[in-house]
Amino acid sequence: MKQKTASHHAPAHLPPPAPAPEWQAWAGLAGRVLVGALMLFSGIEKAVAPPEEFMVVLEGYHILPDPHLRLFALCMPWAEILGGLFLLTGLMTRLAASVTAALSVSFFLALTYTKLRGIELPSCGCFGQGVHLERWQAMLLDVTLIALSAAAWRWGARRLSLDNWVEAAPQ
Amino acid sequence: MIPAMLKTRNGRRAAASAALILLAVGTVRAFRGGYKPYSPEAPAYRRHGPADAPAVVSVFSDFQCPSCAFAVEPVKKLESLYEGQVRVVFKHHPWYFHRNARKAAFLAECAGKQGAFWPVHDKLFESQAEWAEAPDTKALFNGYLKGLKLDSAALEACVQDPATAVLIDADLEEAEEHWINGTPTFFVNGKRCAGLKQLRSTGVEEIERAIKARKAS
Repeated sequence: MKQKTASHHAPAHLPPPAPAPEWQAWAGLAGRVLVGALMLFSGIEKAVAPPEEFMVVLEGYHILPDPHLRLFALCMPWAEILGGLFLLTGLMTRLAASVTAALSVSFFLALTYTKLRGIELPSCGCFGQGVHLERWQAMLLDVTLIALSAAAWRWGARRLSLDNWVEAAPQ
Repeated sequence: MIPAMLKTRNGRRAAASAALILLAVGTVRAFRGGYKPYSPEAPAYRRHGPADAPAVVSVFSDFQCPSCAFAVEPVKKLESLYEGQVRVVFKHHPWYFHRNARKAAFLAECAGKQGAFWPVHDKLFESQAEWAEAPDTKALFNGYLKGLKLDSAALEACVQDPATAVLIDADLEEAEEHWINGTPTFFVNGKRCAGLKQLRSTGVEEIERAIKARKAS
C-alpha cells in the first residue's frame, strides 16, 4: 500500500525548478516604470487643469454622451494617476497593470473609432494639453503600453516593489 | 496600532495604499494651486453691451483661430437673443504658433483706441483665410481699415508703442493663470466654458440663471 508523503510538493527524486531568468524581472520592472511614469504624467497633466479643458478633448471624439462628459473628465485622470502610481511603486502590481492595460485598450479603441468614422482630432488629448501627438503616434504608444503592462503584470512584482514588502510581513 | 498593522500583509497593503493616495492628491493640489476667481476686466472699447447686464461673457480669442472665427456669429446671436441682458468682453489670446495672430491683435487693439475695435474685430474674422498665412499683412490690413476713417499715423504709433504689447501680454498672462489651454474659451459670470459647445450648454444655462436671478431681485 502506498503511503502518502508528508509533503505534496515535488517528489525528492526530481530536481528543483530552475530559477526564473533575470531578464524577466528586469523586463517587468521596466514595464512597471515606463507605463507607471507615463500614466502618472498623463493623469496629472489632465487633473491639474480645469475639467472643462479635458471635456473639450472628449467632445472631439464624439463617443460619450454629453451628460457623462464631465464625470468622465473628472474621473479618468485619477484612474491614470492612481493606476500609474501603484504600478510605478509595485503595489498591487497585477491590479495596477490591469488598470493601465484597460486604459490603454480603451484609448486605442477610441482612436480607432475616430479613424473609422473619419473624425479629425485637433489633439488626441493624451497628455492634457502638455504634449500633442498625431493619431497614429498615439495608437502606436497605446499598443506599446499594452505590451509593457502585460510584462509588468507577469513579472513586475519581482524586483523593487512594494508588493515584496507586503509579502515580507511577519504575519 | 500602526506598528501592529504593519506586521500583517493587509495592514501593509492598506498603509501603502493610503500613503500613495495621499501623495497623489497632494501632488495634484500642489501643481494645481488655487483656481483664481475670474474678473472680466478689459478696456472699455473691448466691451460690448449694457454695463449693467446680468450676464457677462468674456471670451479669450485669437484672430487667427478658425474655431474663434466660427464662434463670432453664435456669440452675436446670444446677444440678440438675450437683448440687453448680455455684455461681451474680448480678451486677446494670440497663439505663438499662428503666424499673424499677434499683428492682428495689435491692429484690433489700436483700432479700438480710436473707437473701432468691433468693426475691425469682425473684419479680421471675416477675412481670416485671406491674411492668416500671408507673408506680409500690411497692405491687407490697411485695406480693412478703409472706410473707418482712422488716423493712420496714430494707429501706426500705437502698434509700435510698447504699452500696447503690455496690454496684450497682460491678457496672455491672465489666460495662463486661469489654465486656458484653447481658444475660444468663455467665462460666463466667471463660469468657464471651453469652446462653443460648452458655451451653448452650460454658458446659456448660466446666462438664463443670471437673468432669472436679476428679475427675482
